[in-house]
Amino acid sequence: MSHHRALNVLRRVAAVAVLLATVLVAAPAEAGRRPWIWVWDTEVLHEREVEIEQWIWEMNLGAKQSAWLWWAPVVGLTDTLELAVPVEASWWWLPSEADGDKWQASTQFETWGLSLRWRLAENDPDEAGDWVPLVRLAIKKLMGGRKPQWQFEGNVVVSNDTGALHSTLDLGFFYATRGAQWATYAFGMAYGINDAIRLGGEVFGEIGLSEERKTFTMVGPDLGFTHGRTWITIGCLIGVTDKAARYMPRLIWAIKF
Amino acid sequence: MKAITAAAPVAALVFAATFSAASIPAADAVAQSVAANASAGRIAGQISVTTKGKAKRDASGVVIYVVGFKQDAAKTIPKMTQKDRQFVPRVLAITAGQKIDFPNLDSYFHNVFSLSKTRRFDLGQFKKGRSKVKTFPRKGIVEVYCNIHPKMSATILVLPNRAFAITDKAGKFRIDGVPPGEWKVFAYSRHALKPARSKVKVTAGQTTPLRLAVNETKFEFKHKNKFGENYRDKKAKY
Repeated sequence: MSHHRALNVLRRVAAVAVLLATVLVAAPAEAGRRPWIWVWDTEVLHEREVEIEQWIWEMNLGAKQSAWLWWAPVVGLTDTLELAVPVEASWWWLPSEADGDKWQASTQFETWGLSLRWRLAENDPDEAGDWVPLVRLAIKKLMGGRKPQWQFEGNVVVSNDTGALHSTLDLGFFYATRGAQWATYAFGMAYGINDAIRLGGEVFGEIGLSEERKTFTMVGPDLGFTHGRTWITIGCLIGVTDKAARYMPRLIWAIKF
Repeated sequence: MKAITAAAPVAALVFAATFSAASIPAADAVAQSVAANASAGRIAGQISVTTKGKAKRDASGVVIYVVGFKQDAAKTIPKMTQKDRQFVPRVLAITAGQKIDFPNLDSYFHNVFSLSKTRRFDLGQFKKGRSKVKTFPRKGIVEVYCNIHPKMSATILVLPNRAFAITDKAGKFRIDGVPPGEWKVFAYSRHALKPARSKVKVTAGQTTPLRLAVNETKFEFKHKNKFGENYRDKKAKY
């Protein structure tokens, strides 16, 4: 092996080693504030802490495809109450009705609103115990349409910690003033490989309570990573029932200040 | 001096080892709760503290503790205040299961936290007049810092029993309520690389004398903020 080639190999090995060390070494902060891409969890910010959080996901519905962006500053109002001010935008891509060989795309500002998450236990995991409940309430303004339209959301979330295994059950109810109503159920389990990495999976489903909403179930794996003031979770839900999207990958991340 | 930056984890490991190396009286094959009673003895004496071979004028702040038996935590809640950008006291000893109150007496925010495995916690930011209480259920050493002020640091020793004391300026101490038996005694200083140690035999109703020597390093241990980053004030000495 030539000297130059040997150096290149050594550089690549060193780069991989540094990357592995960064990933595997215990991180100071908690691993992935939310270790799943869809299930809500029970961890909240401390009073006066601020995070900038964003989610990006895609939905493959066969003929239609879409991508979504959710962005919010999140503020700890108290040690157990957290407020987010999210905005959502979407991008749609679907076949043209006039010419099936062509596609049309549209981008729109979907919603803005307020979301409160109230942890019904001490913020400190050592003080809170193994079972932690949380309630989430949100109100969103649905953009578009002549009359203002609103969507009200509520979730009851309960998490459990048993050793390195973290599990959460999330039940939600959604009501939109333009008539749509639906309930959600979600369950996730994540295993802490170390302080920095959590590996898990989740089940997510919707139960349509009005005509325009479908009932479906999706499952998928998740990987959560924490490093310093940043946490990232990536996963992909895969539809297992007829009316589900084929797949729905999502990336969520946040930076704490 | 580079070795000093590694002193904190080394001291923590040695501190943890003091519990596994403890002697247990033959009458008690398994560690059990031992209530302090009138038949207990006491340990009293003096710790001489040196820094770079020279006797230190103020020998206060050395924790002397006894291992080998367990006792329930006291109900009292000691305070570790934030005052003049310092923790007061800088060394606090408690029993496993006891609580500590962290009141902020300064006119600005503090963010008390610890990344120690014994007890990781983050109090968040709170202002003057507010206070937060934490429980410390596990034995070990807890290094406490402020996420805003890099010079603020303190140490909490979480011990298996109530048989401990902290030296005064002269280095003197007295520990009451020690059950009769042979025990290992340690003298911990947050500025020393390892605790000094000795064995004592305690007799009911009597005082066992003890003198130990502790050699302290001069510098504080470097630390990062709660995110694992260097503090932004580069001129601040840790």
